[in-house]
Amino acid sequence: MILIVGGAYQGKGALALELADGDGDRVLFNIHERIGAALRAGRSGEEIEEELFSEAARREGMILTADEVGCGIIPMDEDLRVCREATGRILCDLAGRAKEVYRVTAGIPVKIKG
Amino acid sequence: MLVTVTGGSGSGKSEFAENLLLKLDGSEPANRIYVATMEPYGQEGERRIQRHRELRRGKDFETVERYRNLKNLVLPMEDGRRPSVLLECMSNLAANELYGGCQTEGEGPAGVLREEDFLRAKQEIFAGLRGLLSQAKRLVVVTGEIFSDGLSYDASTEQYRRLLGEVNRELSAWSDVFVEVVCSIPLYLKGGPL
Repeated sequence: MILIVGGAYQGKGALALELADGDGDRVLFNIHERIGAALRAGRSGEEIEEELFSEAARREGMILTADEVGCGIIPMDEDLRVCREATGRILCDLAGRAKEVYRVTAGIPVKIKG
Repeated sequence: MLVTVTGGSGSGKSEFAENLLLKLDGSEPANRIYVATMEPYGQEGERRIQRHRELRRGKDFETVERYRNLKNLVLPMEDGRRPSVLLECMSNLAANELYGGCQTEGEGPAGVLREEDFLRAKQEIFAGLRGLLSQAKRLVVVTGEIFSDGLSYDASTEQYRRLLGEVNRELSAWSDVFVEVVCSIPLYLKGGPL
């Protein structure tokens, strides 16, 4: 499993497709959106994480992309606050399990693990 | 030695900073102080603090709570040995110094401090850091990355962002090692790796 993180619109998806040799079936795009939706639906972080992990494990060399969402002012809104915190924790765990982790800034990937 | 650890919310920076201090202390007898700057506020604040206590369990930290005015803090010493210190978190300390000190009444947007009070808050922070550095064998400071959500805020929040941004830049100049933690992975931006 490969994890690609970075700010929004930095070229994470393009890097993912490049690493996947153009095979979009190997990429789970923007998992922070799924995480957010699942949390808002009342599901637990652990549950979501396991689901993502088993999906990533269904075939070799799966690639996950996610926005880094924790680098701003802590939101006043409690749901947003809890959501970005939980997203960060899930990404920490996924990065721990990933073989490689990339961070993309302005289209430039930096390999930070593997 | 000064090490600064930064990162976003939920990036794993606290756990990394704690483990780093343990690693730097190595086999030295534990003489670790955790300076906690977060004022407990509401249930969520209590939960955060509880979570951090769980993280620190078994790591032999003596906790000192200090929300502002660190320059007068006298660290406990064991047998005259200088302690290792973890300060967490600069983002709380900056807010506490900015909003918790005495403020000159003035005109301007709501919640915005006059420049002299802003500078006083910044000086207080640096005086506190110098105090800790003079007493500690090694100091690890945890701060936060709050600058990249692409949003702009009201003048008061912008003032806070400016304060933390300026403090972080000064911290990186002072630091032997400056680390950003991304998804629990340390990126050594200055010095290291440790």
